[in-house]
Amino acid sequence: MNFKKQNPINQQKRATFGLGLITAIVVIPVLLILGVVFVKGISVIDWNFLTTEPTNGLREGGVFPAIVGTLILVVGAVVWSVPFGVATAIYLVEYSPRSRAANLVRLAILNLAGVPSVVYGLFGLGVFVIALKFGASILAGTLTLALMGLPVIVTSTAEALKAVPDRFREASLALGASKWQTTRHVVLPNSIQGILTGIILEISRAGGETAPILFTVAAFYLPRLPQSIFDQVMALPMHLFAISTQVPNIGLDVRYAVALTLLFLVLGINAVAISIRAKIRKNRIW
Amino acid sequence: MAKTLIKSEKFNLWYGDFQALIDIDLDIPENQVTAVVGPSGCGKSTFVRCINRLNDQINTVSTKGSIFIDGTDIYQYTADEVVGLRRSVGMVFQRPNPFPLSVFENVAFGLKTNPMVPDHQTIKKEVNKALQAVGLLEDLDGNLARPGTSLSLEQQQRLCIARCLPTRPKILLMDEPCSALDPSDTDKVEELIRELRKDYTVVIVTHNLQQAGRISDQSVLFHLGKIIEAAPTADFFQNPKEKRTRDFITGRYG
Ligand SMILES: Nc1ncnc2c1ncn2[C@@H]1O[C@H](COP(=O)(O)OP(=O)(O)OP(=O)(O)O)[C@@H](O)[C@H]1O
Ligand SMILES: [Mg+2]
Repeated sequence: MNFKKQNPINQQKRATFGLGLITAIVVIPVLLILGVVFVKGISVIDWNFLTTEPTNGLREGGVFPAIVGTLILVVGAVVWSVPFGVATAIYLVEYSPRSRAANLVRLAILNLAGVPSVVYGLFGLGVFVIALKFGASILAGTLTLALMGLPVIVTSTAEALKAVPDRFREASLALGASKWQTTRHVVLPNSIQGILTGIILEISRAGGETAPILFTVAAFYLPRLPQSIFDQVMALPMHLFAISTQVPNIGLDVRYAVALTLLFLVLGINAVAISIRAKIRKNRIW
Repeated sequence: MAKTLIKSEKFNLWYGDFQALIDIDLDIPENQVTAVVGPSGCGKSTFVRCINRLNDQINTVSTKGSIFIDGTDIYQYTADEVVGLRRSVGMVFQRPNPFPLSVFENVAFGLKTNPMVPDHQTIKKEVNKALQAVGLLEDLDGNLARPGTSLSLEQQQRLCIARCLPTRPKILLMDEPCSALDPSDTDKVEELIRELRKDYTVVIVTHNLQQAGRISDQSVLFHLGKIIEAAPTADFFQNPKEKRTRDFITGRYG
């Protein structure tokens, strides 16, 4: 018999080191981005910057309308996409898991997730702005963003529904609850975490994208707050794009300040969603 | 002879192409405990899940034949009637499965999903009565706001039994209700099942022959989807007619 020598302890040590190194390589750029944006931008941010309107053709003043605009867009996108996304996921998972229609929807959603965001922008322009005559408006922009967010809401909700153990469904049905009652009172309450995860992902994406809002809602320079859902708004990513490419002679620190504001805003909204999710998680066991 | 409440007539069930129940003929007497025994995979769970049509949930399932409850064939029921059927047939599962809700909400669930929701006072009364019946009211000192999942396994299982009661079922189906419990907890639940017989017709699946002997009035042996023998429990154990039954109770197979 032939033996091959090996040293499991050493292998283990090398694996730990290697995996750690790779993780560091992945994490360092992320921290670097955050650090650079923070260090370079923080000096510009003050109360005035956050609460006043831009003046002098974006050259001076603050970013208040863009903060409000981004908030509106994010909330609007979530408000449109959650009911539709959750309903679709329930249909797919609970009602017709194996039907032809469900497979078609699943395929469509998969493809929707792969569509570049600029295509959503053009779609929103063609359908919401022009065909449905919403004009460039909050309505058109949030609908466009919602469409872009749908795949992630549907997918994460569907995963959450599937994770609810069948024994709860059976217990409910065996008690004479209908399928809808079972979905509504047993399955859905236990899926909220997953739905929130979807919302968190959507917030980050909707808050940061420029392409989908470019033709559908974002104003280049609109130093006032919107009055109705048919108004345009400024938005932070668009504002950053504008001052970086369209307006000459704006200090680099101002651009970093806008980026930092956007970062704080998205992280802030996400923190709220994450803390809600953590609270739900704590109160539930199975 | 007690009155027959559940009557299975030439009942067959398939999972896709696989036939799991073959020509099941069985009379289940009212207000008695019927124990279903047999080797693993012989169709015990499948059979009891037919009595409340829970197998309808599985979309590969097809059936032929009839199961009568009180003389009406439940396999002729419309979808609405099936929901009603499930209110009059309670079911307890192998693994305790209280909802992640309070004890109170667990027991109130059946009433709150009724087409006619009783007023809150009635619900409270019924919940208390159900918990009293399974002995949980004293155990919990009336603290019904506790999460159902925070109870001990044995208490959870009694909670699951209590959960079936407020809709006033005539029948309780139990699929190995003690298999997740240790022996002393099993005693408590067996005791409860013996008491429940006064008001309910109980069909219980068990892996444990001693348990079948202790708590049942009738015993039924399944084997490969067929009924080998159904007899009063005393006869079943002391005087089995079939050789297979004899082999099974002496532990030669199963
Ligand atoms: N959903 C299903 N799809 C296909 N086959 C199934 C399904 N459920 C059960 N079966 C098969 O039907 C047969 C009977 O299963 P059943 O669960 O009724 O057995 P059992 O007597 O309860 O077994 P155990 O003692 O292990 O609980 C088994 O061969 C099983 O593999
Ligand atoms: Mg079983």
